[in-house]
Amino acid sequence: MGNKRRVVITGIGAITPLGHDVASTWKGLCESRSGVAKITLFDASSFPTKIAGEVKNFDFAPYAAGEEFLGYAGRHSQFAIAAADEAMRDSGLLGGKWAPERFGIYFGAGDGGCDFDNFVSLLNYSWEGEGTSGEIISERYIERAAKILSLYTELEQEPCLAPGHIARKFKLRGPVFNCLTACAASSQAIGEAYEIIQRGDADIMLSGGSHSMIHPFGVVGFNLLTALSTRNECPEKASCPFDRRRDGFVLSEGSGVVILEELEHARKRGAKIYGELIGYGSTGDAYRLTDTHPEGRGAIKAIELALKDAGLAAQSIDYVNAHGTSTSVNDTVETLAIKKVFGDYAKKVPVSSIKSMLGHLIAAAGAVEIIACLLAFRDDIIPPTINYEEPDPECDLDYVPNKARKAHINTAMSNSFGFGGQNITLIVRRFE
Amino acid sequence: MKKRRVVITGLGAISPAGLSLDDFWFAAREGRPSARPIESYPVKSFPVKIACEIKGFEARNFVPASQRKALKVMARDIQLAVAASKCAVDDSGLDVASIDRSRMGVTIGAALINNELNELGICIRNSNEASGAFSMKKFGTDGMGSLFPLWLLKYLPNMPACHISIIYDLQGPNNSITTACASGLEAVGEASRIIERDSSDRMLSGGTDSKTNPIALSRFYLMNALSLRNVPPEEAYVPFDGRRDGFVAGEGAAIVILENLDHALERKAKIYGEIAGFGSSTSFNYDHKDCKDSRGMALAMKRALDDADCEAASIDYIEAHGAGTKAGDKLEAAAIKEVFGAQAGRVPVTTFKPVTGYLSAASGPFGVVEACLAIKAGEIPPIAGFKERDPDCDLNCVSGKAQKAAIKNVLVNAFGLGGQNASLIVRRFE
Repeated sequence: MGNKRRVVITGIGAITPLGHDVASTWKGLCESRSGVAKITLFDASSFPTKIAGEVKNFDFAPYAAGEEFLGYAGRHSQFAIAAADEAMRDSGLLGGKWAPERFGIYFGAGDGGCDFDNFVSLLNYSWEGEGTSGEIISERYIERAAKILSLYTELEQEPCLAPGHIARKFKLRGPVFNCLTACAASSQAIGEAYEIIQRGDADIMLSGGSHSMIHPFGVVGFNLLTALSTRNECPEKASCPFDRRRDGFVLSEGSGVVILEELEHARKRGAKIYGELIGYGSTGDAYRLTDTHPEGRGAIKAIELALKDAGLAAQSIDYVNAHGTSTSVNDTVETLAIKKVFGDYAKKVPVSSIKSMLGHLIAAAGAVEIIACLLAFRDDIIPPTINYEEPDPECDLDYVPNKARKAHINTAMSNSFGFGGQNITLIVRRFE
Repeated sequence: MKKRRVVITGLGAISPAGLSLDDFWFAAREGRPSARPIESYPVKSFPVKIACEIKGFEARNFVPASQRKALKVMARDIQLAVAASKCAVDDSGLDVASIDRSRMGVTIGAALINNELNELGICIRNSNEASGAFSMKKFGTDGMGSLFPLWLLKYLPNMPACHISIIYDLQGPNNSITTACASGLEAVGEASRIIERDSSDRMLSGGTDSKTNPIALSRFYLMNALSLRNVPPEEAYVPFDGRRDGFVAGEGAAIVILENLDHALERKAKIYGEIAGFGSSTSFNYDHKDCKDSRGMALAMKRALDDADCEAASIDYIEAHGAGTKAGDKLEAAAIKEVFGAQAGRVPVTTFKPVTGYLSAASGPFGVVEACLAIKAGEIPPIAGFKERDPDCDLNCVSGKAQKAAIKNVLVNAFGLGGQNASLIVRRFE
């Protein structure tokens, strides 16, 4: 194991409900600000959930200039391109010299929302019969769809478009993947990108994720699953991971991108190094579609595998960036899993969920969370869990309540658990 | 450090040719295309009237009684994947209950799963005002009330892998690759890497698609990708043929069981072949009307060859992507020429696609399944329906019936619309 290629992070980019770049997002996180507000992308006033973490006032036009097809880019593609652009600039690779064949992408882009207005009009046009007694006449649907839908808008719903845009924009010719494993997607992408560099299939990988499900079908879909918070009266307070009053997650949108680079490659070009990725664990719950395993079977195993991969004991972890969705079950089971693996040390290690401020970026969540871990190294600050007011007896760890904390940490663990049972744990270490 | 070797020990396929591996292989080696007039809904006045539909598929016959309840939250793509998984597990002879299931994972390639129109039709219908105009306010109440609680989960692309992991209690790494037509082959490649690096001992992998539904058909039509030569249906989808004008939409799922060689040997498993090499790359062909970049496809093939430590001259035949569009096949032919040089006109090229119809996420895994069966039979199946050579696709296309050959190395291609390309080499196990 000793001769494995080492993987460091040399560039970061983000666009979130707290800002259009890493700096504004990080500032918001350190100042305990919430990015959650009333939904403005459509009229959600009658929906059970009327709040979300929207990316506000984002102008994509400069990124699309001179690129005809980017004019059709869906929100998740737009976010992906913006965050990738920031990460590329930040890494110093933009305009620099590198072999395109050795630079790949492992992304965790979600699906794009549908062309809602056109889709609704199509369904109404194709309906035959009265009230609920009729049905869609497929032939009417197809004929009309072929007339009124825009091909490129339709294609934007495919999750593969975002990494495709990024590859084209930056002329990356390396291996390219996109995984869509719900809330674990971008963490899984980063873990697999790290494996690709370790085994030598590439020297640089652009990884992370992007997603926007703040559309009528997305909100309704999660509402039907009763997964979303309905504390509409105080949006900024709605996401309260580990707090007794938590009642679901807050749906958010955005993107996080990291540039992973083989250590010697990074050193040779004198790159700035944010940290080293040293551990990756991946498991399946194989339990139920909607519930995590009640004893955290898959989560525990993922954490253990990541520690083993890093060659670390649990006591060496200085900070846990929790999945911490603010759903009743997740936060209890995650606490249980941390206690199971960390033993007595669980009560000592700071654990925080930045979803308390950002909401849940779904496929993009893990990437933004790993960025927060890297910035915690840089600035000696642990971002807080805000809205932590009423402790839950089942969640009895140090959640870094409400205010960021000064601390010099050297290793951080980030958990991501997906709907359907994908469990991912990543471990990063300060690079010295 | 010596890499762990990965072998294929089980195959499963549900295709328009039939609900078993034997049905698929029979149609493939006989060169029987599956395109027929669309039966599941009328298309009298639409320019496209044919598809490769799977007939008589009953998902409940493929899941244990305890899991049947879950079928109603599985879109057709998911049901097909679950059924093909059962076939593959059965074929492998693996007693899943007796193995260490924390060391067996699932990686499936999936595309965007299309919604069933009636389900959403009623939801939108109930969201309309008396005037017939859609009301977002009513959508948030009555519209939402028309959908069932787990509606969202029925269509998530990670659900094939989730359902399969639940049915067989597979607790190893669980991933879902979504790179359009490259998804399934990338999934198999990634699954083999997971075994290689010792993150698991066994993987269930493959891809699934159902692209004959109205939403998918209208999208393919918008892309100008569908053949308009409806009569006779069997001659519509002819990859690399001079007459080609697009593909016929298809559906199907192909699943393989991958095992670390030592584990397979220990249980005396039947071994179809070895995953010898895998390569992935990107091309910049976003504008499907102006596809010129064959370099990405060539890179994927070269990477797979390098990874397999294999000269192009040692490839015994190519399972091509064979999109069947004018531009797509020309591009693939150019890429094959770039990689194979003087050998390009000699190496036999085939594709199973006229048998299944055009698949996106399931396409590569079907290629892997066909490669395994070809190695076993010592026969290269033809491109069903192939007749007229096209100077733009100056390749040795296999036509007519299966061709006898001693096959050691097969190169499988799968190229996606987002610019993602995958190539994989299946090698006879020795």
